[in-house]
Amino acid sequence: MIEIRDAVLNTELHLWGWEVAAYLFLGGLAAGLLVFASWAHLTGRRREFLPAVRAAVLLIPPIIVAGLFLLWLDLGSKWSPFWLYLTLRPLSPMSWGAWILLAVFVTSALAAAPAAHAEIEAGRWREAARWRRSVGRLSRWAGPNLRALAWANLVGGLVLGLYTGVLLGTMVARPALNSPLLGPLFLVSGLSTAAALLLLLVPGGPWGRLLTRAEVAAHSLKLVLLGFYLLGLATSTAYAQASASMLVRGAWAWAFWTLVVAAGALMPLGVALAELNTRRVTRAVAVSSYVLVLAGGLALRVVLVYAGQRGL
Amino acid sequence: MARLAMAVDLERCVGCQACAVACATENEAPDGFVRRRVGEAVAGDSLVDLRLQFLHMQCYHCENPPCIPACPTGATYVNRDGLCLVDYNICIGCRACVAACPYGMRYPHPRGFVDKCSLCDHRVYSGRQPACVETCPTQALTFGDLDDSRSPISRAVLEARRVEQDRPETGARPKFYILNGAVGCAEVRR
Repeated sequence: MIEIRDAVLNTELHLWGWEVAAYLFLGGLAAGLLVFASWAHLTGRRREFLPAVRAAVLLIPPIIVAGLFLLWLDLGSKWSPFWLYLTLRPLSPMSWGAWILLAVFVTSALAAAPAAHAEIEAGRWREAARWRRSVGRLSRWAGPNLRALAWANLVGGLVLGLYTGVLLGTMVARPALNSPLLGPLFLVSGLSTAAALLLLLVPGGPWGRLLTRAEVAAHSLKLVLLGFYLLGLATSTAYAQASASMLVRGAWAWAFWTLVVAAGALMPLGVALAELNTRRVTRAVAVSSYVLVLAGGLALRVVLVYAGQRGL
Repeated sequence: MARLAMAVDLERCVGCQACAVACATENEAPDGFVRRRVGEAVAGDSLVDLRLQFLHMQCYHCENPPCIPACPTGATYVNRDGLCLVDYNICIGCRACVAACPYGMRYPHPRGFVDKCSLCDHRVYSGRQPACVETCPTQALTFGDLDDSRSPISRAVLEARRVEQDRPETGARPKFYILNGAVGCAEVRR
């Protein structure tokens, strides 16, 4: 029997808080929107899905900026984040993540320029009228290069979605986080939250059925990955097993089972399947389901960021 | 080029905390934070089997430190003598190194950067011992170059009956040797 009598040994180290969890959520959301918009462009379905694609491309840059703001808010030293862009450290996921965010912000902003210019020209964005010339210039440059930008955004979106999970997954000293499955899990979760957001904001249209199908695939894959993730922890070291039991029946179990699994995946999966098969789902139920997907996506990051702070 | 390291002889340590106080004073640790601390663990299932062990906790200046690749700006680095240090001017306080350290030996300083034991490099490079080593009233702490067979630490490690490192399974290869412990390191869990 070992009894630790020094309280200082048992203190939880404060690592990352809600800012990082929310940043990872927004990163995944932006990644999902990037993949959808780029895919629609590259497969020639941009015109068919225009309202949804327009909403996606216009949402991505502000979402990335909001994510970067949260990341900055979490930093201990608020005046020195520029050091991230004076170094490139290939073995540090946070370093290449900073560069990915910058690159994706630039390419997504360029891809959004024609849509933003059209909004300003149509007089719908009166507050942005003074930016008309600058946005117009960007739009003229981006217009002929939209296909190249779509490729860049597709790759950037996939890498960004994976990165949000890899950032946590490479923390070898935190057994609950140290899993290679977190990258794919966060990417799939990001895709599902993006689909839910688009279905929430731009209902109806030919994109509805496609996005609902994407929801079914993403939720199913998410459940499989969550299962393998827990299995990986349960069959690993004693530290990892303790982390798994914390998620399954410990302090974070209620949030994990109710918010992440039930509300974030099982219930929306049921609603999406019903929608595809019977088409008898009311708008109220569908909206609730989309909100649950978004809440579940956020809960996944919050639970893993907080529960994962338990060290070796 | 040296391989600077530290060792604690637990047969000599009386748990007086003088090392922790000297460290906090020397390095002006902020209120509520320490770079070095000494805890205690009690092992044994019955009264006659009870054993007490002091746990010395500070940065182990590992030979394969996981904190180094985790740092996105290169603020944390290993110098030519194997000391794992933090450049406070470059550190952005992202705490990736805190998350990467398997021993939990780093802490976020209230001034924004991440702080930890530097083995008093400012003293070492002016020919002195780290504050904790100099202060220890029982000479339980030893510091020196592992590559020099005549250094105090090489002799202490060689002469010890039992030599251990904290959780070698992490692969970090800490350069902090626990000598003559009454309780095996594997038994002691934080």
